[in-house]
Amino acid sequence: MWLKHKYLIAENRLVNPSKNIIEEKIVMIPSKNIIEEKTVVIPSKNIIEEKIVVIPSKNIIEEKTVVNPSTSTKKMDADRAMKIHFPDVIIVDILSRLPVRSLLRFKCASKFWRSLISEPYFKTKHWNHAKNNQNFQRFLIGQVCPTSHDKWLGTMSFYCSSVSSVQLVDVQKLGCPSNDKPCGYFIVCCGDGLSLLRSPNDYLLWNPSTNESVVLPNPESPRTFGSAYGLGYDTTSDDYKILRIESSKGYGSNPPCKIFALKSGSWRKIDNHPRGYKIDNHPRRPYDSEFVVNSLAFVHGAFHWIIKDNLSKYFIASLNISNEAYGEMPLPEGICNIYNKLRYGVSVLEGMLCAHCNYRNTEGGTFKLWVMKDYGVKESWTELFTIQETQLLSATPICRFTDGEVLLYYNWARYTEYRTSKGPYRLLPASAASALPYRFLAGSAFIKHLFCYTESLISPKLLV
Amino acid sequence: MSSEKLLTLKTRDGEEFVLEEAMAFRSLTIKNATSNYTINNTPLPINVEINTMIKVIEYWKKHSERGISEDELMNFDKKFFKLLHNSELFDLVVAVDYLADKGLSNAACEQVLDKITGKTPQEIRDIFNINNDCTPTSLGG
Repeated sequence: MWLKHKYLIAENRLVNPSKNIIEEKIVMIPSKNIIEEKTVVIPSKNIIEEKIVVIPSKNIIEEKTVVNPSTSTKKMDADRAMKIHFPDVIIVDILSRLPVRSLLRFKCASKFWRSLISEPYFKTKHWNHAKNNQNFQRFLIGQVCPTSHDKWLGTMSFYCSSVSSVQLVDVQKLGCPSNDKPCGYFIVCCGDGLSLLRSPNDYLLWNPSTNESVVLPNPESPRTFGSAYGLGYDTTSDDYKILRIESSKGYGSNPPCKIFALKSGSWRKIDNHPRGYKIDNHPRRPYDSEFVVNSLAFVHGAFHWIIKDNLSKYFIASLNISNEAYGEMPLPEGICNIYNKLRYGVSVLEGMLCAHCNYRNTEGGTFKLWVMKDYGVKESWTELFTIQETQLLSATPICRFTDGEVLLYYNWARYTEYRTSKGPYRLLPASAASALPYRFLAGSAFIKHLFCYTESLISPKLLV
Repeated sequence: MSSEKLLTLKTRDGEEFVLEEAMAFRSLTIKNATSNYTINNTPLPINVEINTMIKVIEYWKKHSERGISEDELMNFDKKFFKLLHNSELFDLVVAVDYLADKGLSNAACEQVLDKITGKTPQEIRDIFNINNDCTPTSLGG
C-alpha cells in the first residue's frame, strides 16, 4: 500500500531539522513504495521522545505528542482519554469478559458502571461468555471442621479456587451464605453458575461468586439421606429447575421424584421412570453418609442417573429438563457383566456424559471410565482408562482438566484422597499453611465437597 | 502486485490512501460499503483517523502475510500491542469496532482486559477518566 503524501523524507534523517531531533524511528514516506515502518513526522515544536504521527500533507504538526508513559503521562493519557468517546457497547463487550471478582470491584468505579454491571442484560451477556470458557471454571470446596466430625450438624467452611491440574491454586475463603454460625449447610450440587445447599431445615440456592443466596421451600416428604439432586437451567421456560430423587431406602422400588421450578415456588411430584428405579450410592463409612456426592449428571438439557430394571439390568435414565420426558440409554458394553459387587455411576466431564464402574475381587479394586463421545450414540462409548489397585475400594470422577487429566475422589481402605493419574492432588498451595489468613486444612479427609462450577453474576433472588 | 484490486479510502481527517481490496475487506464495514459505490476511484470515506488507520493496516498486513507461523504472529501481536499507549489502544478499539474486524477486535479487547483485570476502582477511574460519583452509602448495594 502507499500513501499519497506531499513530503518526501529521506531515509533515516530529517530533511528539515531546523529545530528538534527525532530520536526514534523515522520513516520515509516515499511517493510510491509501501510503507515499511511506522510513520513519523517532522516536528516544528517540541522534542519527540517516541513515535509521533503527523499528517504532512497538511503541513501541520498536530499536538499529538505521545510521551513515554514512564514519565508522568497519566495526565496526558487522561486528557487524551477525555476526548475519546468510548461507546457503551464496547465497554459492555469488554466488561462481559472479565472475571466476576474484578466486576464486583469495578461496581464502585462509578454509578454508571454499577448500574451497567447490575443490569440483567449484562449478567446474561457475561454468563453466555463464561459458560463456554474454561477460564471461568472454578472449584467449590466444602471443608468440615474436625471437632464436629461425627455430628450431623458439621461446621462447614467454603472455599473456591481456580481449576488447575497440578494442585489447588488461588484459594479464597467464601462467606457462609446464610451468615449462620456455625454454618450448617452442605453442598448438594452445582449447575449453570449456581449451587444448591441444604441444611436439616431448608435449602439454599447460592451463587458462590457473588455470595448471593435465597432460601427455597422444603418439599413435603421428609428428606432421607442419599437423595440425589440435579440443578440446571431450562432454556425453554427460561427458568432453573431442581430435580430430587429420594433414596430407595424406605420407599422400596419407587422413591418419590420431585421437581422444583424456581418460578413456580413449589415442589411438585412427577412420575417415576417407567422402566426401573434409581440405585443408591451407599457411603462406605457411616460418618460420611451426609457427605456422599449424589448429584445427577446434567448435560444436553437432561438429568442422568443409573437405574436397574426388574430383570436386574442396568442402564442410564434421563429426564429432559424442558418437557420432563423420560428417556434411557444403554451403558457401555463390558461394563455390566462382571462381578456382583459392582457400583456404577454417571458424571459429566468436559461437557460429555461419562459412565464408570467400581468393583472388587480378590486382587483388589478396579475402576473403569468410559466417555460417550456422541451423545445418545451407543457405539460412541469409548473407554478412557482403567485403574487397578489392591487397596482401592472405589473411585468417583470429579472433573477433567484441559490437559486431559481426570481428577478422581479415591476411597481407599483406610482413607480418602483426591488424585489424578500423576499422583495425589495437592489441596494446599505451595506456601505453608500458616501463611494463609484462614484455616485451610491440608488433609483431604476434611475436604468433603469438591465441585466444579462456573463463575457467574446470576442473582438467585431474582430467579424465584 | 499491480494485478491486485485497489481501493481508495479517505479518513475522517481528510487523509486519502490506497489499499489492496483483499486487505481492506477484512473490515466488514468497508466490504459492505463498497457494494454501494462506483468503482471510479472516488475515495470511500471511513470514520477513522489516519493515525489509527495506519496501525490497523500494519496489523492487517502482518496477518495477511503468507507462510507466517503462529509463533511469529503471536510475537508480532505482543510487540504491536505493547507499544500502544492507553489512548492509542482505546482509539484502536473504537476504530476496529467501527470497521467490524472480528479478529482484531477480539485481540484489542483482550488487551484492554489485561490492562484492567486486577485493578482497583481508582485505577479504573484513571484509565477511563471516570468521575467518582459513588457515595459510601450507595456502595452498600
